[in-house]
Amino acid sequence: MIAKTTYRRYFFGAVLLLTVLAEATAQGGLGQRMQSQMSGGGGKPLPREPLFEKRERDWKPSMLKLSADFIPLGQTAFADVMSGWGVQAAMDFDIYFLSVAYGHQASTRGEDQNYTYQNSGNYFMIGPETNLLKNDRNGNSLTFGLKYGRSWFSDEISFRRDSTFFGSYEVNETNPGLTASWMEMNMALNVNVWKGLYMGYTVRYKFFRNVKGWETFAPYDVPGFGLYEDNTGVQFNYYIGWAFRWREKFPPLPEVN
Amino acid sequence: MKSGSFIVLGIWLLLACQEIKDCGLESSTDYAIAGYYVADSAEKTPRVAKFNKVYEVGVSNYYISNVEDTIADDSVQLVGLPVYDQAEQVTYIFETDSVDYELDILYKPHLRIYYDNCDPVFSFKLDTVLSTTFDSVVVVNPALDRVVPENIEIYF
Repeated sequence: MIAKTTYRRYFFGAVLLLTVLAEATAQGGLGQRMQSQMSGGGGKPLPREPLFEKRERDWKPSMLKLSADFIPLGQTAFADVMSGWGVQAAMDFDIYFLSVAYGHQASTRGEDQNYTYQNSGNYFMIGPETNLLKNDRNGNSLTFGLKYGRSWFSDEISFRRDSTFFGSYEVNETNPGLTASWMEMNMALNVNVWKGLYMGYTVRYKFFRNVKGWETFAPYDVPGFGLYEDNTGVQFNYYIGWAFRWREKFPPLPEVN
Repeated sequence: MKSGSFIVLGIWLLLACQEIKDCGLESSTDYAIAGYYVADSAEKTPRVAKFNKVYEVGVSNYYISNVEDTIADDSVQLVGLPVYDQAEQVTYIFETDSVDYELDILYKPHLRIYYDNCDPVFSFKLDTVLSTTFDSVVVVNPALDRVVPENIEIYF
């Protein structure tokens, strides 16, 4: 049990380390570009004008990214407890994205214990993201976002209870119409791999969890959020998708002699 | 770009504060502890009580105490009264030679899976207690938990 928790911490620690490394790599790339522009050639004097002119805001969308989440697909294929699917759509507005994620999650627990628990429902998350890579021409993004999440789900549990005083009896509890809402902060790295193909991951930290619709039995899983008992949740998504572009956001770079 | 690193560091710190779960930490119980006290006393005085039989009206096979069977324990100051998770009320009868005292306990059961490697557990919270035969009854602590010494005070 503790080993499982430790494993989860190491796992998220590794993910976050990768995020920092990716960010450092992006900084390195930018630094190299600046160095190549500044060094020029043949001892020419350095250009005095700023490297990046003050950019005008461009609120007109230039692309729509549609992605599939491969984590729930992997869970469906290889895990016993969880199954589901998830998709995400994101549209750019200047350096911001409006992102919507939608998905389905089902879980079955307790097969190794003395109970059977089943949970199934749909969820969505919507909110803005800001791209920390402000001038990336390929559409790569390292984003920080704040989102609102909501899910609709149902669950049920059954087990046999042995009471010394009231005897032995079957316990069946159902919650047919549960709703949950929460807020989340997320960090996402999305990289252009080939033409319109993008892939990247999102780490979501969820908080302000509010679940309605239950009286006696508290749900265990909250689709899209995590565990009800935790009050906060962490979710990791790995998205692979395609960007449909209808215009170039940045003018072509001037030729450097 | 430094701001991005601070955000990542902040999320990492939040993750590090996640709770470690252990089935053994669950301390809720399925019985209320009732204490006997002397009615019409200026000070709160515990009372040693002796009932012929204490039982729940819906349970015919078991009783809490019986003066014939439990000679050593029939004079007590506290009694544990089990609550039923498939209902929201239990009624206990405290029999004596002269009068039968009745106590209604109203409560809310709460079922949860604390951790999926643990069995589901019921916890209970007392709403109120009623009696037309005891002088007075009062809920002093609504949570049924091992760390709570007493849930109900019975004055007679």
